[in-house]
Amino acid sequence: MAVSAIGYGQQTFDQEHDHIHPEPDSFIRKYVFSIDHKIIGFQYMITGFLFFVIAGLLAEVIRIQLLTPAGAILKPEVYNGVYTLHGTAMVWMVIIPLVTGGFGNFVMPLQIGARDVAFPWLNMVSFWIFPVSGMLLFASVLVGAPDAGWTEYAPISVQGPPGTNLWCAAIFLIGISSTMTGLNFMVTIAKMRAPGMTWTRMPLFTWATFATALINMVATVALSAALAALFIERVFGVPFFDPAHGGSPILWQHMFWFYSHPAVYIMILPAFGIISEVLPTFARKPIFGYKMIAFSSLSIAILGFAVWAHHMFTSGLAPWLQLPFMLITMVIGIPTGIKIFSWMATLWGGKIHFSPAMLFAVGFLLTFSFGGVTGVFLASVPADLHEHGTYFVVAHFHYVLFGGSVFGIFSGMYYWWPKMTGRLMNEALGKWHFWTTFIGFNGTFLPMHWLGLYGMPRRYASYPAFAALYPQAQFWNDVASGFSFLMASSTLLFFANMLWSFKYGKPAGKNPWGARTLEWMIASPPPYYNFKHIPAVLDNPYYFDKPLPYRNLEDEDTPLEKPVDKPASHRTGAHA
Amino acid sequence: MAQVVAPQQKGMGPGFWTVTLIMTAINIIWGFFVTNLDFGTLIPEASDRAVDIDNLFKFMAVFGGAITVYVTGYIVYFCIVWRRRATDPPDAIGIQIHDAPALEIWWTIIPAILLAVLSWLSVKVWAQIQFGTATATALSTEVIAHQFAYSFRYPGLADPVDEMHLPIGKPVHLIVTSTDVIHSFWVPDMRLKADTVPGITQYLNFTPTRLGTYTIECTEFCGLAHSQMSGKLVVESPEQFQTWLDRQKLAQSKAAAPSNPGEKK
Amino acid sequence: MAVLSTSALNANHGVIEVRYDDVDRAYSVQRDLRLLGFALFLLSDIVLFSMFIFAYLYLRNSVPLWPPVNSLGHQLPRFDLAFATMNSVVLFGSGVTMHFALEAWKRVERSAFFAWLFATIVLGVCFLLGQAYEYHSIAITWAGSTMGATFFTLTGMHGLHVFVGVVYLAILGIQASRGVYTPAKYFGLTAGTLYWHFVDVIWVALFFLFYLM
Repeated sequence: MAVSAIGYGQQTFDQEHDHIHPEPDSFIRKYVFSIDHKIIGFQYMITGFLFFVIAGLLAEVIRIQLLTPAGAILKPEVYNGVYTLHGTAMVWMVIIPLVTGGFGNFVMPLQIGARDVAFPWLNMVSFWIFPVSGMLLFASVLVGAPDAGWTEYAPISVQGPPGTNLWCAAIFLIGISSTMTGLNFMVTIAKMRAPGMTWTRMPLFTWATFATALINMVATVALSAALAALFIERVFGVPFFDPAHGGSPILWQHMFWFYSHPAVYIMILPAFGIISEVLPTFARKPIFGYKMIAFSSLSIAILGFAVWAHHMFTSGLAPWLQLPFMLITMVIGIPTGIKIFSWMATLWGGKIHFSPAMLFAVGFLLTFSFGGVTGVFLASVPADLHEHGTYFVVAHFHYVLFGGSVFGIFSGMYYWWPKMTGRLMNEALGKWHFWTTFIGFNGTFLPMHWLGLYGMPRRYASYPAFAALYPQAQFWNDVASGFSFLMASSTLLFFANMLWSFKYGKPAGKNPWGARTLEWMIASPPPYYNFKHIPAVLDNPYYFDKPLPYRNLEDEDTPLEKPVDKPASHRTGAHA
Repeated sequence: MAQVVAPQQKGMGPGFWTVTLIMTAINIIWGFFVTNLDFGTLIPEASDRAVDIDNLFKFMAVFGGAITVYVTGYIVYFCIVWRRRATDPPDAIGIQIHDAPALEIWWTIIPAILLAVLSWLSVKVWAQIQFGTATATALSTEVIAHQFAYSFRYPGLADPVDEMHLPIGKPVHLIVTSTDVIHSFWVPDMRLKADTVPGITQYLNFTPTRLGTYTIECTEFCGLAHSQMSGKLVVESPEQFQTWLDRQKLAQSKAAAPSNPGEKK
Repeated sequence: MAVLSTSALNANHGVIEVRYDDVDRAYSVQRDLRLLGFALFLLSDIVLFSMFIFAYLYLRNSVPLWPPVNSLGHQLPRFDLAFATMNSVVLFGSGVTMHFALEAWKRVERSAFFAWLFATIVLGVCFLLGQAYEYHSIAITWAGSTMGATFFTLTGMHGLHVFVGVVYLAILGIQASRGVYTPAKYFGLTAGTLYWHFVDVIWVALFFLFYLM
């Protein structure tokens, strides 16, 4: 019979390789090269938010530049590097590490009642690649920053500045880290759930993390292959993408988007998961359509592998390929719609408490559904012929990436902060943060829709021709820039809130929100071993009118006793 | 956690149908507004395909707008009506409903139908752009992009020219290509775009329908002067076009004449 | 593994007490994790090769003639099928010997195990030497054409995998000689065998794509 023995068995493991590693004494082993999933989650968050600040400031530089049609402050060569680094860093150094490495690491093992991920040591390696690759990326500024945008289309990227090599190396490394994290999480979720936690009793954030891990594991390697090819083409002159030597520029787009479209779901699915936790908790209602939400995550993850070429409708894709890609892209709108409607229905009949986490979740619903609708505009090939490569696309993906993923990240931060630190955040400050972000965000990105439709292309360091075409060009760009300053400063409120919470935050207790998933059943912050006894799960967590569906949690308040002595030296040979 | 009894609810809650009615009214007005809006006054529709694409856009704007209004409206309305009141006990819970299969089927089917219709409309327009009016009478013109300008090659002209001229009302078959890196040929007023990929040719089929001078932009990053890369497209009467073409021929033969003796040396 | 059958859940809410001094159970759980993890690693490795194979097929299909012509207009030569076949037999042979090695371990025949493992390593090294010879004698270069680019990248990646495999098997041999594995607990050997077969399977694909197609 299948049994989850992890919880009881691990103390008997060979010490070097066991699951639950003893708590380390030294500072270095405890906080720097830690193998504890909670500390690693923290490390991801700290590093991710650090890069968030840098990449956010780069975004403000972009907005300052576009204040005037001639380009306010920068020469094109600098500006091109700025938006390339902004896009690259936001995708690979901020959102993906935060939602998978940060939340996935901290929350997922707690939610499934495990004491750590399947391979803690691998987890540590995954994390430490991340700051290294981040530094490599920003070091490219010293030798000539990459300038062809985060997509680095060949052949311009083959000829690009020397920093493009560092760009390749940095993204290659973070890709390796993502792959390992995905592998780790898949094994953890598949094999280490608490007894009784069947797939349909799994919390929705864990479901989302599982779907994300699947994409991370399969797709990220494709990116590594593309980057390796670009790197050797640049360094050794080996022809893959440069048509001057027989290569194919379209090949790069296929290889790149085969990863980078699924990457969109790597960024958004965990945010879906966060929203699916926050909504029921603060509406005091079961999530509406649990199974539909869980399975739509998985179907989005799988369908997401078959739509990459919708980024290439204008690039000379064979006509017979354009149609299937358009149709599958349309199909992917259906599970996404189901999710939105289910979340909307979750609000109905609730007793909604508007904590900052809930505000961001509702904000997510509004902005993400709008971004989803503009996504359909882009899926239709003829309409895309007009919209492709313009600010309409920029507006669309900021609605789903900022309005989606980043709102999800903020929501999750407010939601799990008490669990992570044991202290509450300031609600009033959090609400201010939400409203300034929400207004700043919409003011920044809404005008970009019509700027794009009227003819403003992306990646323009200046727009004199467009300004001649459309008299209000500068006005709307200035509006966008003005609101973007509001949005940027709103983030300060968030960081201030963190500091406030360290100093003045009230102790949170185990479960300040009355949430029902497993991570809220233990102390905040969780003890090193998470669970003294691995709990048993009797039911789906989201039924607020029923008793909590857990057993073996009653004695959580008594001190941890060592299970038994380790059996006399016995090598399990479980390693190799 | 203390056991609490879930409230029961009959009907959809206070004001639900009023709100639905208001949103439906908004959507009908929005639908009328969008369908009667003349996009051509906002940004000229200078080709037959521009009209097709705008119609597609209107279809999406009407139904996408409707979905946005319903989703946004219900979310905001639910948030107001179902908020926790100060008078509620702290452990109050919402109505414990977690499924409504009929509803779920509807909100799967309706978007699916809308997307299917949209796909069908898109395919029709797409087929015209791809294979369209490529008749024997179509004017075949080559667009050659290079860093950082466009050149155009006309049948009967030996050398490419820097400006694009097209006769009004005559089908055009554009052959789009590049000599160095990827650019993207875009005339916003024509609603048409094609990446110019070195080593690959792409085709655009349309008929210019409006006289005027239009800007050609580049929408794929192509190097330092990407944002300054633009071209000029003049749509004129067939007579004017012929005159222009003849003048170009003359100019090119004049330019070629003195160079010929030079080559003989 | 936590997916429990419904009957077990009904009987005891899915709670099954496991004795924590049960070393064998602990080992089997740990082995489960590692086996799945290792399988997923191989899966991701397959994606890596698939992407380059996709690149190869894409580039091959984008030119009218294959092998392609070089800058001087001469068509490049085809690869040497006879030599590659010989080298392939060496590699596939090493797969067979590795299989026997694992079987010998299961039957607790230590000396047979070491003999078969040694044969596998020798054959692996022979394959690498063969490949080095082929690289040396071949008329095309890595940077010269798309054919060279895809051929050297893919076979190079594969060769690197074989090299890593040889080192890996050598380490396994040393570990086995030091008593790390027992007849009942030998996950490392299973993983090594899996990896070695995986390298073989990749070679089947490459052999077909480059020499036969």
